[in-house]
Amino acid sequence: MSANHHVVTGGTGFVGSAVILELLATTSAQITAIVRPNELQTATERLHGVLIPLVADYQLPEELISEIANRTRAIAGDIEQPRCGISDIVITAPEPFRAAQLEGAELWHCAASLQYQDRHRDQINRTNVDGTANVVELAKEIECSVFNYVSTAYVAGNQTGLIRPQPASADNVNNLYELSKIAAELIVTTSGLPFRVLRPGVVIGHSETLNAISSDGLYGFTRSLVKFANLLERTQPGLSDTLQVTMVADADGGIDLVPVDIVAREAVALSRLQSPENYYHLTNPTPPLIGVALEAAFSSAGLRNPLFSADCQALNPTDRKLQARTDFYSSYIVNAKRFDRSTVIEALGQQASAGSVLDLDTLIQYCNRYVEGLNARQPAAAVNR
Amino acid sequence: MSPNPASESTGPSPLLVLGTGRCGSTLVSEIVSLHPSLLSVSELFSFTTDLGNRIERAFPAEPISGEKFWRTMAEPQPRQSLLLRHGLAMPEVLYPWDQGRFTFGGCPPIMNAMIPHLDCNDPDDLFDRLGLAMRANPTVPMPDHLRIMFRWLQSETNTAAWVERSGGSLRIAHRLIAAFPEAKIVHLVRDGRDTALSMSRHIGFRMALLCGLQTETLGVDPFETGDRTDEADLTDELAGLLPENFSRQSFDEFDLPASLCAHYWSGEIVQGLNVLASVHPEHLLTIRYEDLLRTPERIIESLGNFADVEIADDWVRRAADLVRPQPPRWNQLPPDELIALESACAPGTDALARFAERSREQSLSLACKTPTGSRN
Repeated sequence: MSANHHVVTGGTGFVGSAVILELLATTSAQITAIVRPNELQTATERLHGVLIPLVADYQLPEELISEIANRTRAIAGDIEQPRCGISDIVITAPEPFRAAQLEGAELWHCAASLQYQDRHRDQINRTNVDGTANVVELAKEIECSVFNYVSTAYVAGNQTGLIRPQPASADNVNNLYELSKIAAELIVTTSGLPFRVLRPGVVIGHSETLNAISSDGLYGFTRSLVKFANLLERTQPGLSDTLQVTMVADADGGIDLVPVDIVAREAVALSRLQSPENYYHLTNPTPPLIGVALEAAFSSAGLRNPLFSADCQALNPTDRKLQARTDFYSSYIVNAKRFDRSTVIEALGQQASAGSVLDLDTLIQYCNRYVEGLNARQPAAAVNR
Repeated sequence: MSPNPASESTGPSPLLVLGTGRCGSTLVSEIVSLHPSLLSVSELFSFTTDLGNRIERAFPAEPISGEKFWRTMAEPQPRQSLLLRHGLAMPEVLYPWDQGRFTFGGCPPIMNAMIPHLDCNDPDDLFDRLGLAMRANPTVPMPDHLRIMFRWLQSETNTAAWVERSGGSLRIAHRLIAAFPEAKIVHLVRDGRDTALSMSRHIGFRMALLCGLQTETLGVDPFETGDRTDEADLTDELAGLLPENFSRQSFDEFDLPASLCAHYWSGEIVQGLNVLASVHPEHLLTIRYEDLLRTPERIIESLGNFADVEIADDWVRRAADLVRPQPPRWNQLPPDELIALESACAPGTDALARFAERSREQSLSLACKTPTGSRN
């Protein structure tokens, strides 16, 4: 029997919020999110402040708004604190979060840091590694029924070819982020708790509306390009129109871009169908080519289509500057890989996603949607002359 | 009614020496400073604009008081102060730190180079007397304050005309030409490849371009605001060079490719030439740095003639003695870097060639229209 209570970390984030909306839409369960309050909002205000606008953004049924009000609550907490900073009193005593409600809940650990730079090493470890350990500690206290850990398909690191749904090796990592996610997977899978390791691809906006509250993955890459284009214009007006950069990329390989609603749908379906302890690639069975995705991002950023090379020796100094700015995303665009979805298909059968076809025009729309928001938030800095 | 400072002066026209920076213009200031009739104003705008990052602030649109004008000249600027605090003094900085009262963290913009260039013995005294005089200025537009300052300095040095030269001032050519329509223009040009290579190694240009990289990534100027919302987008290299993290070692290790400087050089040349196209050909002298190195006497004489000052043999000889051979360095680059450098320089180099051709045609046309011996 599926749980009647779910506890979610990262509920104000991109994947976590989509999981909550999917749980609301497809189950009758109560949902408790662990949310960091801010100076202006309580935890619940913050959670609802994210969830309610998403109903319109994702064109979900309006009734979901009352479901959000009635079936979701947030407790103030911080996964970087022991037991997520949640006191015994909060867990066991006050309304509406009686221990009885939380006991046996299914836990979704979606919170993560997507930082990757060396200087953020401590932050990455605090959030992704220590944070996961703290959530596991809490999960044990409430005797959670299943610990769903949202990891990433790209823990595969620099491997190529078909990636099996199995434990990842730290020997293959490209960056600190991947390393931290592998460490966190290990904490979960060795905790003694029943678990599912859910590994989405590069999560993009909603499959129908294209809307997203993410600024990472494809969007982070696009933002890097926008800023690079602005830099070129600052350096020499018109340069972004004329300069053609070379990128190291496997243009003909696939990049696993997957819409957020499809990730959430498969994740929650795995829960509803009580799929067994395993690793699941919540990826796109029909991923676009890396070259196509890059073309879309470059187009949205106002840059010429790049040239592609398999060899970093082919890069000139300007190319290398761009490479440094987009280094994190290299793991998505080199060492092309495909993700084995057999565990998902076996568990979900017909309910498994048939794939989201993302052609160039669609990807440009995704990127344009993000760039419009970015430019509205942060116009290019003024150039002194 | 207050007099128009622009129309007051008689005698030789003032000169503005414009260039991209790293084009040999410091040498021109030194040559000018040897001439008894010329006031050599050096690096005024380099430092009052904080290495080109505070241009709007240095050229306020509205009239300002003498007090405010003096603050622009005297209040230390953040980038230059940061560099000096970390022992990163550009070769252009002339202030005698061991003798004067100003410190690395608190040096007025005009004390970095302009005042010590005029009086290396007691720059503090000249600064104090200038400040006393300038603070009493009426509320006038910025260019008029500058004219009053130049005239005061001309009076102090008994010179007939001022020659302002700041590294990289081609960037603000439109502002300077609009501010000083009475000035004639010297455009100093150097081979883009060597200029870019020199920029990539020069403290001031490294700082200016670094700030551009940081500003575009953060969306805000990190020296003007503490907003670090987009800090995560900075590479470790750029984050390590934020004002709050800055270290000399990080700055020395900062990788600034010459080809990126070459793109910048091309942009400055193309835009600068667009501005210079509006200057009357007789009010514009283009000097190629390589010609100055090859035939210093001839170029120095042509500069003197253009400035309408006496060409004394002694001045030409002493000035020519300042010129040292400077073989090109771009040809020592590895082939791939050279290709990138030359490709990046191409728009600027082509624009210079087109501009030179057009200037030749205009000169020929003017020569045909003007009777021999007459001058207007």
